[in-house]
Amino acid sequence: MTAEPDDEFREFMRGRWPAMVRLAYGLTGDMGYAEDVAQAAFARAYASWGRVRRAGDPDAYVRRIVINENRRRFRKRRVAEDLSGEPPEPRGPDATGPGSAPGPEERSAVLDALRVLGPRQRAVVVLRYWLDMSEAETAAALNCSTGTVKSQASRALATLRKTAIVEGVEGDAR
Amino acid sequence: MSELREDLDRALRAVAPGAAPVEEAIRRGKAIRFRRRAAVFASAVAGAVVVAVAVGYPALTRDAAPPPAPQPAQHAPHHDPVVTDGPAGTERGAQGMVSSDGVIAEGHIGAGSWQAAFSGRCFTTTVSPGTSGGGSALGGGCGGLPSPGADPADFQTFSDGTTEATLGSAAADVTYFVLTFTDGQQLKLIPVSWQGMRYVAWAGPASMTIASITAHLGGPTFDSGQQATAIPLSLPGKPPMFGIWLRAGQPVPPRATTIITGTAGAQSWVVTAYEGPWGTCWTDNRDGSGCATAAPATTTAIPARSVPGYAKLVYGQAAPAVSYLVVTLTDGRTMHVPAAALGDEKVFAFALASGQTVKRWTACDTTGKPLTSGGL
Repeated sequence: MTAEPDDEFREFMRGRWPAMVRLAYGLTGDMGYAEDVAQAAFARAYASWGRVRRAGDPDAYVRRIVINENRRRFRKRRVAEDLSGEPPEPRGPDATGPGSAPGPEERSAVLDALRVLGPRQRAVVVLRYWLDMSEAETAAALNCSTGTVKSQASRALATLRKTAIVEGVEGDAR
Repeated sequence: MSELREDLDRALRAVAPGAAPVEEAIRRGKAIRFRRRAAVFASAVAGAVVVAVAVGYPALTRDAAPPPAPQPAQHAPHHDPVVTDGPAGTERGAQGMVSSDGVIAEGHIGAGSWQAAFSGRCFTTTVSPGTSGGGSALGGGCGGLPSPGADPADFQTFSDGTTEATLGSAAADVTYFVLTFTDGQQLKLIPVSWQGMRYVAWAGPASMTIASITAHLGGPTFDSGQQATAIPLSLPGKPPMFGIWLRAGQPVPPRATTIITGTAGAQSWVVTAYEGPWGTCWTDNRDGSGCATAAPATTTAIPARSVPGYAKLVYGQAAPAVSYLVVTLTDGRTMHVPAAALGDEKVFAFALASGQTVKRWTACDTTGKPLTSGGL
Protein backbone atom coordinates (compact mmCIF):
# COMPACT_ATOMS: atom_id res chain seq x y z
CA MET A 1 0.00 0.00 0.00
CA THR A 2 1.44 3.37 -0.93
CA ALA A 3 1.59 6.34 1.39
CA GLU A 4 -1.46 8.01 -0.12
CA PRO A 5 -3.98 5.22 0.58
CA ASP A 6 -2.33 4.77 3.97
CA ASP A 7 -2.97 8.42 4.75
CA GLU A 8 -6.51 8.06 3.51
CA PHE A 9 -7.02 5.07 5.80
CA ARG A 10 -5.53 6.98 8.74
CA GLU A 11 -7.93 9.85 8.18
CA PHE A 12 -10.87 7.48 7.81
CA MET A 13 -10.01 5.55 10.97
CA ARG A 14 -9.45 8.66 13.08
CA GLY A 15 -12.80 10.01 11.94
CA ARG A 16 -14.83 6.86 12.39
CA TRP A 17 -13.09 5.32 15.41
CA PRO A 18 -15.45 6.79 18.05
CA ALA A 19 -18.56 5.66 16.20
CA MET A 20 -17.29 2.12 15.73
CA VAL A 21 -16.19 1.82 19.36
CA ARG A 22 -19.64 3.02 20.43
CA LEU A 23 -21.29 0.43 18.22
CA ALA A 24 -19.00 -2.29 19.59
CA TYR A 25 -19.64 -1.09 23.11
CA GLY A 26 -23.37 -1.31 22.52
CA LEU A 27 -22.94 -4.86 21.26
CA THR A 28 -20.51 -6.07 23.91
CA GLY A 29 -21.16 -3.93 26.97
CA ASP A 30 -17.44 -3.99 27.67
CA MET A 31 -15.16 -1.11 26.79
CA GLY A 32 -12.02 -3.22 26.61
CA TYR A 33 -13.57 -5.70 24.24
CA ALA A 34 -15.25 -2.90 22.30
CA GLU A 35 -11.94 -1.25 21.50
CA ASP A 36 -10.43 -4.63 20.62
CA VAL A 37 -13.31 -5.45 18.30
CA ALA A 38 -13.20 -2.03 16.65
CA GLN A 39 -9.46 -2.20 16.19
CA ALA A 40 -9.74 -5.68 14.66
CA ALA A 41 -12.39 -4.38 12.28
CA PHE A 42 -10.25 -1.47 11.14
CA ALA A 43 -7.27 -3.81 10.73
CA ARG A 44 -9.31 -6.00 8.42
CA ALA A 45 -10.50 -2.96 6.52
CA TYR A 46 -6.89 -1.89 6.06
CA ALA A 47 -5.97 -5.38 4.82
CA SER A 48 -8.54 -4.94 2.01
CA TRP A 49 -8.40 -1.17 1.76
CA GLY A 50 -8.15 -1.07 -2.04
CA ARG A 51 -11.32 -3.11 -2.45
CA VAL A 52 -13.06 -1.28 0.40
CA ARG A 53 -12.36 2.10 -1.22
CA ARG A 54 -13.58 0.95 -4.59
CA ALA A 55 -16.82 -0.32 -3.03
CA GLY A 56 -17.45 3.27 -2.00
CA ASP A 57 -18.85 2.79 1.51
CA PRO A 58 -16.02 1.98 3.92
CA ASP A 59 -18.20 2.90 6.87
CA ALA A 60 -20.69 0.14 6.11
CA TYR A 61 -17.84 -2.29 5.55
CA VAL A 62 -16.24 -1.62 8.92
CA ARG A 63 -19.60 -1.62 10.68
CA ARG A 64 -20.35 -5.04 9.27
CA ILE A 65 -17.00 -6.36 10.44
CA VAL A 66 -17.62 -4.96 13.91
CA ILE A 67 -20.89 -6.87 14.06
CA ASN A 68 -19.30 -10.05 12.69
CA GLU A 69 -16.27 -9.76 14.96
CA ASN A 70 -18.54 -9.44 17.95
CA ARG A 71 -20.46 -12.55 16.89
CA ARG A 72 -17.25 -14.47 16.35
CA ARG A 73 -15.74 -13.30 19.63
CA PHE A 74 -18.85 -14.19 21.57
CA ARG A 75 -18.69 -17.74 20.21
CA LYS A 76 -14.98 -17.96 20.91
CA ARG A 77 -15.28 -16.70 24.48
CA ARG A 78 -18.19 -18.97 25.25
CA VAL A 79 -16.33 -22.03 23.98
CA ALA A 80 -13.17 -21.08 25.81
CA GLU A 81 -15.12 -20.83 29.01
CA ASP A 82 -16.96 -24.09 28.41
CA LEU A 83 -13.76 -25.98 27.78
CA SER A 84 -11.85 -24.53 30.66
CA GLY A 85 -12.98 -27.18 33.07
CA GLU A 86 -13.27 -24.53 35.73
CA PRO A 87 -16.36 -24.11 37.86
CA PRO A 88 -18.67 -21.26 36.94
CA GLU A 89 -17.11 -17.99 37.90
CA PRO A 90 -18.67 -15.35 40.04
CA ARG A 91 -19.49 -12.86 37.33
CA GLY A 92 -21.15 -9.51 37.44
CA PRO A 93 -23.68 -8.44 34.88
CA ASP A 94 -20.85 -8.34 32.39
CA ALA A 95 -17.13 -8.34 32.15
CA THR A 96 -16.56 -4.69 32.80
CA GLY A 97 -14.98 -3.98 36.10
CA PRO A 98 -16.62 -1.75 38.59
CA GLY A 99 -13.65 0.51 38.40
CA SER A 100 -13.67 1.06 34.70
CA ALA A 101 -12.52 4.54 33.96
CA PRO A 102 -15.34 6.98 33.70
CA GLY A 103 -17.54 4.22 32.41
CA PRO A 104 -20.66 5.13 30.57
CA GLU A 105 -22.09 2.07 32.27
CA GLU A 106 -22.19 4.08 35.46
CA ARG A 107 -24.11 6.86 33.83
CA SER A 108 -26.76 5.15 31.81
CA ALA A 109 -29.73 3.12 32.89
CA VAL A 110 -30.27 1.93 29.35
CA LEU A 111 -26.79 0.47 29.15
CA ASP A 112 -27.33 -1.22 32.50
CA ALA A 113 -30.51 -2.68 31.16
CA LEU A 114 -28.82 -3.92 27.99
CA ARG A 115 -26.49 -5.98 30.13
CA VAL A 116 -29.23 -8.24 31.30
CA LEU A 117 -29.90 -9.22 27.69
CA GLY A 118 -28.12 -12.07 25.98
CA PRO A 119 -25.60 -11.17 23.27
CA ARG A 120 -27.99 -11.79 20.39
CA GLN A 121 -30.86 -9.86 21.96
CA ARG A 122 -28.51 -7.01 22.74
CA ALA A 123 -27.27 -7.01 19.17
CA VAL A 124 -30.84 -6.96 17.85
CA VAL A 125 -31.71 -3.99 20.07
CA VAL A 126 -28.63 -2.03 19.06
CA LEU A 127 -28.98 -2.72 15.35
CA ARG A 128 -32.75 -2.27 15.17
CA TYR A 129 -33.27 0.59 17.55
CA TRP A 130 -30.00 2.48 17.49
CA LEU A 131 -28.74 1.96 13.96
CA ASP A 132 -32.33 1.83 12.73
CA MET A 133 -31.74 -1.21 10.58
CA SER A 134 -34.71 -3.02 9.10
CA GLU A 135 -35.56 -6.55 10.19
CA ALA A 136 -34.09 -7.90 6.99
CA GLU A 137 -30.88 -5.90 7.38
CA THR A 138 -30.57 -6.98 11.00
CA ALA A 139 -31.16 -10.61 10.08
CA ALA A 140 -28.50 -10.41 7.38
CA ALA A 141 -26.04 -8.76 9.75
CA LEU A 142 -26.59 -11.37 12.44
CA ASN A 143 -26.80 -14.28 10.03
CA CYS A 144 -30.22 -15.36 11.20
CA SER A 145 -33.79 -15.30 9.93
CA THR A 146 -36.13 -12.33 10.16
CA GLY A 147 -38.31 -14.52 12.38
CA THR A 148 -35.45 -14.82 14.82
CA VAL A 149 -34.94 -11.06 14.75
CA LYS A 150 -38.63 -10.54 15.54
CA SER A 151 -38.68 -13.02 18.38
CA GLN A 152 -35.41 -11.81 19.84
CA ALA A 153 -36.53 -8.19 19.63
CA SER A 154 -39.83 -9.03 21.24
CA ARG A 155 -38.15 -10.84 24.14
CA ALA A 156 -35.57 -8.10 24.52
CA LEU A 157 -38.22 -5.40 24.69
CA ALA A 158 -40.19 -7.43 27.21
CA THR A 159 -37.09 -7.64 29.37
CA LEU A 160 -36.36 -3.95 28.97
CA ARG A 161 -39.93 -3.09 29.90
CA LYS A 162 -39.41 -4.93 33.17
CA THR A 163 -36.46 -2.67 33.84
CA ALA A 164 -38.62 0.37 33.06
CA ILE A 165 -36.39 1.39 30.22
CA VAL A 166 -39.22 1.17 27.73
CA GLU A 167 -42.00 1.32 30.26
CA GLY A 168 -45.22 2.60 28.84
CA VAL A 169 -44.14 2.11 25.28
CA GLU A 170 -46.53 -0.08 23.41
CA GLY A 171 -44.03 -0.83 20.72
CA ASP A 172 -43.47 -4.28 19.40
CA ALA A 173 -40.80 -5.85 17.31
CA ARG A 174 -42.14 -4.26 14.16
CA MET B 1 -39.48 3.09 20.14
CA SER B 2 -38.19 6.60 19.56
CA GLU B 3 -37.66 6.96 23.31
CA LEU B 4 -35.51 3.85 23.38
CA ARG B 5 -33.59 5.10 20.36
CA GLU B 6 -32.97 8.43 22.03
CA ASP B 7 -31.87 6.75 25.25
CA LEU B 8 -29.51 4.49 23.36
CA ASP B 9 -28.17 7.38 21.33
CA ARG B 10 -27.59 9.51 24.40
CA ALA B 11 -25.93 6.68 26.31
CA LEU B 12 -23.68 5.51 23.51
CA ARG B 13 -22.66 9.02 22.53
CA ALA B 14 -21.48 9.46 26.09
CA VAL B 15 -18.94 6.70 25.47
CA ALA B 16 -15.60 8.41 25.01
CA PRO B 17 -13.08 6.10 23.37
CA GLY B 18 -9.37 6.73 23.61
CA ALA B 19 -7.30 7.89 20.68
CA ALA B 20 -7.64 5.79 17.55
CA PRO B 21 -4.82 3.20 17.48
CA VAL B 22 -4.22 3.81 13.80
CA GLU B 23 -0.68 2.51 13.52
CA GLU B 24 -1.54 -0.65 15.46
CA ALA B 25 -4.49 -1.30 13.13
CA ILE B 26 -2.22 -0.83 10.12
CA ARG B 27 0.32 -3.24 11.59
CA ARG B 28 -2.35 -5.83 12.20
CA GLY B 29 -3.84 -5.23 8.76
CA LYS B 30 -0.48 -5.93 7.18
CA ALA B 31 -0.24 -9.17 9.19
CA ILE B 32 -3.68 -10.19 7.89
CA ARG B 33 -2.58 -9.56 4.31
CA PHE B 34 0.57 -11.56 4.93
CA ARG B 35 -1.49 -14.47 6.28
CA ARG B 36 -3.81 -14.39 3.28
CA ARG B 37 -0.89 -14.55 0.90
CA ALA B 38 0.69 -17.33 2.92
CA ALA B 39 -2.59 -19.26 2.86
CA VAL B 40 -2.81 -18.90 -0.90
CA PHE B 41 0.75 -20.11 -1.17
CA ALA B 42 0.09 -23.03 1.19
CA SER B 43 -3.01 -24.18 -0.63
CA ALA B 44 -1.20 -23.98 -3.96
CA VAL B 45 1.56 -26.18 -2.60
CA ALA B 46 -0.71 -28.60 -0.83
CA GLY B 47 -3.05 -29.09 -3.77
CA ALA B 48 -6.67 -29.98 -3.43
CA VAL B 49 -6.29 -32.76 -0.89
CA VAL B 50 -4.73 -32.11 2.46
CA VAL B 51 -3.95 -35.07 4.65
CA ALA B 52 -3.93 -34.52 8.38
CA VAL B 53 -0.67 -35.63 9.92
CA ALA B 54 -0.90 -37.42 13.23
CA VAL B 55 2.70 -38.22 13.93
CA GLY B 56 5.55 -36.33 15.44
CA TYR B 57 6.28 -34.85 18.84
CA PRO B 58 4.11 -33.10 19.62
CA ALA B 59 1.96 -33.09 16.49
CA LEU B 60 -1.17 -31.28 15.51
CA THR B 61 -3.78 -33.21 13.63
CA ARG B 62 -4.49 -30.10 11.68
CA ASP B 63 -4.86 -29.41 8.00
CA ALA B 64 -4.21 -26.27 6.05
CA ALA B 65 -7.85 -25.29 5.85
CA PRO B 66 -9.24 -22.55 8.07
CA PRO B 67 -10.15 -23.80 11.53
CA PRO B 68 -13.76 -24.89 11.96
CA ALA B 69 -16.08 -22.64 13.88
CA PRO B 70 -15.72 -23.36 17.58
CA GLN B 71 -18.41 -25.62 18.98
CA PRO B 72 -19.72 -25.70 22.52
CA ALA B 73 -17.83 -28.17 24.68
CA GLN B 74 -20.60 -30.70 24.89
CA HIS B 75 -20.60 -31.04 21.11
CA ALA B 76 -16.84 -30.91 20.58
CA PRO B 77 -15.33 -34.14 19.35
CA HIS B 78 -13.21 -35.81 21.98
CA HIS B 79 -9.54 -36.17 21.25
CA ASP B 80 -7.25 -38.19 23.40
CA PRO B 81 -3.95 -36.51 24.11
CA VAL B 82 -1.54 -37.15 21.29
CA VAL B 83 0.77 -39.93 22.36
CA THR B 84 4.20 -38.39 22.44
CA ASP B 85 7.65 -39.76 22.34
CA GLY B 86 10.90 -37.88 22.39
CA PRO B 87 12.15 -36.28 19.24
CA ALA B 88 15.18 -37.76 17.57
CA GLY B 89 18.18 -37.22 19.79
CA THR B 90 16.44 -37.61 23.17
CA GLU B 91 17.09 -40.29 25.70
CA ARG B 92 14.93 -41.40 28.58
CA GLY B 93 16.81 -41.31 31.85
CA ALA B 94 16.12 -41.29 35.56
CA GLN B 95 15.47 -37.56 35.34
CA GLY B 96 13.12 -37.87 32.37
CA MET B 97 13.78 -36.96 28.75
CA VAL B 98 17.19 -35.53 27.92
CA SER B 99 18.09 -33.99 24.58
CA SER B 100 21.47 -34.96 23.20
CA ASP B 101 21.41 -32.58 20.24
CA GLY B 102 19.49 -29.58 21.55
CA VAL B 103 16.16 -30.44 19.91
CA ILE B 104 13.41 -29.84 22.43
CA ALA B 105 10.36 -30.63 20.34
CA GLU B 106 9.26 -30.93 16.76
CA GLY B 107 6.03 -31.70 15.00
CA HIS B 108 3.68 -30.94 12.19
CA ILE B 109 1.01 -28.41 11.36
CA GLY B 110 -0.90 -29.97 8.49
CA ALA B 111 1.64 -30.60 5.75
CA GLY B 112 4.20 -28.32 7.36
CA SER B 113 6.66 -28.99 10.11
CA TRP B 114 8.18 -27.05 12.97
CA GLN B 115 11.00 -27.46 15.44
CA ALA B 116 12.25 -25.82 18.64
CA ALA B 117 15.92 -26.41 19.33
CA PHE B 118 18.87 -25.10 21.30
CA SER B 119 22.39 -24.64 20.11
CA GLY B 120 24.39 -24.03 23.21
CA ARG B 121 22.44 -21.40 25.14
CA CYS B 122 20.74 -19.99 22.03
CA PHE B 123 17.41 -21.30 20.86
CA THR B 124 15.36 -20.95 17.68
CA THR B 125 11.87 -21.92 16.65
CA THR B 126 11.48 -22.67 12.96
CA VAL B 127 8.60 -23.58 10.67
CA SER B 128 8.74 -25.17 7.23
CA PRO B 129 5.96 -25.24 4.66
CA GLY B 130 6.80 -28.89 3.90
CA THR B 131 8.42 -31.78 5.69
CA SER B 132 11.69 -31.52 3.80
CA GLY B 133 13.20 -28.73 5.88
CA GLY B 134 14.23 -25.32 4.59
CA GLY B 135 12.22 -23.54 7.27
CA SER B 136 12.22 -19.97 8.42
CA ALA B 137 12.82 -18.80 11.97
CA LEU B 138 9.85 -17.56 13.98
CA GLY B 139 12.09 -16.27 16.71
CA GLY B 140 14.60 -17.18 19.33
CA GLY B 141 17.13 -15.82 21.72
CA CYS B 142 20.24 -16.50 23.69
CA GLY B 143 20.83 -16.97 27.36
CA GLY B 144 18.13 -19.53 27.91
CA LEU B 145 14.67 -18.80 29.27
CA PRO B 146 13.74 -17.39 32.65
CA SER B 147 13.30 -20.01 35.34
CA PRO B 148 9.63 -20.76 36.07
CA GLY B 149 10.21 -19.98 39.73
CA ALA B 150 7.37 -21.35 41.83
CA ASP B 151 5.16 -21.90 38.77
CA PRO B 152 5.09 -25.08 36.68
CA ALA B 153 6.32 -23.21 33.58
CA ASP B 154 7.20 -19.86 32.09
CA PHE B 155 6.39 -19.43 28.40
CA GLN B 156 7.61 -17.25 25.55
CA THR B 157 5.66 -17.13 22.29
CA PHE B 158 7.01 -16.26 18.85
CA SER B 159 4.80 -15.52 15.87
CA ASP B 160 5.01 -14.50 12.23
CA GLY B 161 1.30 -13.73 12.12
CA THR B 162 0.48 -17.15 10.65
CA THR B 163 2.12 -19.56 13.04
CA GLU B 164 2.81 -19.26 16.74
CA ALA B 165 5.50 -21.26 18.49
CA THR B 166 5.85 -21.31 22.24
CA LEU B 167 8.86 -22.43 24.21
CA GLY B 168 8.68 -22.78 27.97
CA SER B 169 10.95 -23.59 30.85
CA ALA B 170 9.42 -26.30 33.04
CA ALA B 171 9.75 -26.80 36.78
CA ALA B 172 11.49 -29.87 38.18
CA ASP B 173 8.26 -31.33 39.57
CA VAL B 174 6.35 -31.33 36.28
CA THR B 175 5.69 -34.78 34.83
CA TYR B 176 3.97 -33.54 31.66
CA PHE B 177 1.57 -30.90 30.37
CA VAL B 178 -1.70 -31.33 28.51
CA LEU B 179 -2.43 -28.42 26.20
CA THR B 180 -6.04 -28.06 25.05
CA PHE B 181 -7.16 -25.90 22.15
CA THR B 182 -10.69 -24.55 22.01
CA ASP B 183 -11.50 -26.88 19.11
CA GLY B 184 -10.86 -29.86 21.37
CA GLN B 185 -7.43 -30.87 20.11
CA GLN B 186 -4.94 -31.76 22.79
CA LEU B 187 -1.19 -32.12 22.93
CA LYS B 188 0.78 -33.97 25.54
CA LEU B 189 4.04 -32.18 26.22
CA ILE B 190 6.83 -33.96 28.06
CA PRO B 191 9.64 -31.71 29.31
CA VAL B 192 13.03 -32.33 27.74
CA SER B 193 16.25 -31.42 29.54
CA TRP B 194 19.02 -29.47 27.88
CA GLN B 195 22.08 -28.26 29.77
CA GLY B 196 20.40 -28.76 33.14
CA MET B 197 17.11 -26.95 32.35
CA ARG B 198 13.81 -28.55 31.37
CA TYR B 199 11.83 -27.22 28.40
CA VAL B 200 8.64 -27.85 26.46
CA ALA B 201 7.54 -26.37 23.16
CA TRP B 202 4.61 -26.43 20.79
CA ALA B 203 3.48 -24.66 17.65
CA GLY B 204 0.17 -24.15 15.91
CA PRO B 205 -1.69 -21.85 13.56
CA ALA B 206 -2.12 -18.38 15.04
CA SER B 207 -5.84 -18.74 14.34
CA MET B 208 -6.15 -21.48 16.96
CA THR B 209 -6.96 -20.47 20.51
CA ILE B 210 -5.60 -22.19 23.58
CA ALA B 211 -8.28 -23.08 26.13
CA SER B 212 -5.91 -24.23 28.88
CA ILE B 213 -2.69 -25.94 29.73
CA THR B 214 -2.60 -28.33 32.67
CA ALA B 215 0.60 -29.34 34.42
CA HIS B 216 0.61 -32.81 35.91
CA LEU B 217 2.89 -32.68 38.91
CA GLY B 218 5.03 -35.10 40.84
CA GLY B 219 8.44 -35.45 39.24
CA PRO B 220 10.07 -36.15 35.89
CA THR B 221 8.92 -39.78 35.97
CA PHE B 222 6.24 -39.71 38.66
CA ASP B 223 2.71 -38.32 38.38
CA SER B 224 1.33 -37.65 41.86
CA GLY B 225 -2.11 -36.77 40.57
CA GLN B 226 -1.75 -33.12 41.55
CA GLN B 227 -2.41 -30.58 38.83
CA ALA B 228 -2.15 -26.88 38.11
CA THR B 229 -3.92 -25.21 35.22
CA ALA B 230 -3.22 -21.99 33.35
CA ILE B 231 -5.94 -20.40 31.24
CA PRO B 232 -4.40 -17.77 28.99
CA LEU B 233 -5.87 -14.43 28.04
CA SER B 234 -6.49 -14.52 24.29
CA LEU B 235 -6.83 -11.19 22.52
CA PRO B 236 -7.19 -10.83 18.76
CA GLY B 237 -3.91 -10.45 16.96
CA LYS B 238 -1.86 -11.16 20.07
CA PRO B 239 -0.20 -14.34 21.29
CA PRO B 240 -1.77 -16.04 24.32
CA MET B 241 -0.88 -14.36 27.59
CA PHE B 242 -0.18 -16.65 30.56
CA GLY B 243 -0.42 -15.35 34.11
CA ILE B 244 -1.31 -17.42 37.15
CA TRP B 245 -1.56 -21.19 37.54
CA LEU B 246 -4.73 -22.33 39.29
CA ARG B 247 -4.58 -25.23 41.71
CA ALA B 248 -7.39 -27.30 43.21
CA GLY B 249 -9.59 -25.22 45.47
CA GLN B 250 -8.08 -21.92 44.40
CA PRO B 251 -10.74 -19.31 43.64
CA VAL B 252 -10.92 -18.21 40.03
CA PRO B 253 -10.55 -14.42 39.75
CA PRO B 254 -13.66 -12.70 38.39
CA ARG B 255 -13.58 -11.31 34.88
CA ALA B 256 -13.19 -7.58 34.65
CA THR B 257 -11.62 -5.01 32.37
CA THR B 258 -10.58 -1.46 32.97
CA ILE B 259 -8.78 1.18 30.95
CA ILE B 260 -6.28 3.66 32.27
CA THR B 261 -5.18 6.55 30.10
CA GLY B 262 -2.69 9.34 30.37
CA THR B 263 -0.26 11.49 28.46
CA ALA B 264 3.49 11.59 28.46
CA GLY B 265 4.70 14.77 26.83
CA ALA B 266 2.78 15.08 23.58
CA GLN B 267 1.98 11.37 23.43
CA SER B 268 -1.07 9.73 24.89
CA TRP B 269 -0.95 6.24 26.32
CA VAL B 270 -3.64 3.72 27.05
CA VAL B 271 -3.25 0.71 29.29
CA THR B 272 -6.00 -1.91 29.42
CA ALA B 273 -6.03 -4.24 32.39
CA TYR B 274 -7.83 -7.58 32.29
CA GLU B 275 -8.64 -9.73 35.28
CA GLY B 276 -9.89 -13.27 34.80
CA PRO B 277 -8.82 -16.89 35.13
CA TRP B 278 -5.42 -15.85 33.76
CA GLY B 279 -4.91 -13.58 36.76
CA THR B 280 -4.15 -9.98 35.84
CA CYS B 281 -2.76 -8.95 32.47
CA TRP B 282 -2.12 -5.62 30.81
CA THR B 283 -1.81 -4.42 27.25
CA ASP B 284 -0.90 -0.94 26.12
CA ASN B 285 -1.19 1.06 22.96
CA ARG B 286 2.52 0.74 22.28
CA ASP B 287 2.32 -3.00 21.65
CA GLY B 288 3.44 -3.80 25.17
CA SER B 289 1.82 -6.42 27.34
CA GLY B 290 2.44 -8.46 30.44
CA CYS B 291 0.80 -10.54 33.13
CA ALA B 292 1.26 -10.74 36.87
CA THR B 293 2.29 -14.16 38.06
CA ALA B 294 0.61 -13.71 41.43
CA ALA B 295 -3.08 -14.10 42.13
CA PRO B 296 -5.07 -10.88 42.58
CA ALA B 297 -3.00 -8.66 44.74
CA THR B 298 -3.23 -8.52 48.45
CA THR B 299 -0.11 -6.40 48.44
CA THR B 300 1.11 -3.73 46.09
CA ALA B 301 3.79 -4.44 43.53
CA ILE B 302 5.30 -2.49 40.68
CA PRO B 303 6.66 -4.80 38.01
CA ALA B 304 8.44 -2.12 36.00
CA ARG B 305 8.07 -2.44 32.31
CA SER B 306 9.96 -0.59 29.65
CA VAL B 307 8.59 0.03 26.19
CA PRO B 308 11.36 0.69 23.68
CA GLY B 309 11.27 3.98 21.85
CA TYR B 310 8.68 5.43 24.14
CA ALA B 311 8.41 6.86 27.58
CA LYS B 312 8.53 3.98 30.00
CA LEU B 313 5.11 2.67 30.90
CA VAL B 314 4.82 1.14 34.33
CA TYR B 315 1.83 -0.87 35.42
CA GLY B 316 1.04 -3.12 38.33
CA GLN B 317 -1.36 -4.40 40.95
CA ALA B 318 -2.36 -2.86 44.24
CA ALA B 319 -4.17 -4.14 47.29
CA PRO B 320 -7.94 -3.46 47.34
CA ALA B 321 -7.59 -0.84 50.09
CA VAL B 322 -5.15 1.27 48.09
CA SER B 323 -6.56 4.52 46.75
CA TYR B 324 -3.44 5.99 45.19
CA LEU B 325 0.31 5.67 45.06
CA VAL B 326 2.87 8.36 45.71
CA VAL B 327 5.77 7.62 43.40
CA THR B 328 9.07 9.32 44.09
CA LEU B 329 11.45 9.59 41.15
CA THR B 330 15.22 9.61 41.29
CA ASP B 331 15.22 13.30 40.30
CA GLY B 332 13.26 14.09 43.46
CA ARG B 333 9.91 14.72 41.80
CA THR B 334 6.79 12.89 43.00
CA MET B 335 3.72 11.67 41.19
CA HIS B 336 0.29 10.82 42.59
CA VAL B 337 -0.98 7.76 40.73
CA PRO B 338 -4.63 6.80 41.26
CA ALA B 339 -5.43 3.10 41.64
CA ALA B 340 -8.33 1.87 39.51
CA ALA B 341 -10.67 -0.90 40.59
CA LEU B 342 -10.45 -4.09 38.57
CA GLY B 343 -12.68 -6.93 39.75
CA ASP B 344 -11.55 -7.77 43.26
CA GLU B 345 -8.30 -5.83 43.16
CA LYS B 346 -6.79 -2.49 42.13
CA VAL B 347 -4.43 -1.73 39.28
CA PHE B 348 -2.48 1.34 38.28
CA ALA B 349 -0.38 2.62 35.44
CA PHE B 350 1.85 5.60 34.86
CA ALA B 351 4.44 6.79 32.38
CA LEU B 352 7.98 7.91 32.97
CA ALA B 353 9.79 10.28 30.69
CA SER B 354 13.01 9.19 29.11
CA GLY B 355 15.71 9.05 31.78
CA GLN B 356 13.30 9.01 34.70
CA THR B 357 13.28 6.08 37.10
CA VAL B 358 11.32 5.25 40.22
CA LYS B 359 13.17 5.52 43.49
CA ARG B 360 10.42 4.75 45.97
CA TRP B 361 6.66 4.35 46.11
CA THR B 362 4.08 4.52 48.89
CA ALA B 363 0.57 3.10 48.65
CA CYS B 364 -2.08 5.12 50.51
CA ASP B 365 -5.74 4.62 51.34
CA THR B 366 -8.52 7.14 50.79
CA THR B 367 -7.58 9.07 53.92
CA GLY B 368 -3.98 9.42 52.82
CA LYS B 369 -2.75 6.91 55.35
CA PRO B 370 0.31 5.03 54.06
CA LEU B 371 -0.39 1.31 53.78
CA THR B 372 2.82 -0.03 52.34
CA SER B 373 5.87 1.17 50.50
CA GLY B 374 8.77 -0.11 48.51
CA GLY B 375 11.63 0.80 46.25
CA LEU B 376 12.84 -0.23 42.83
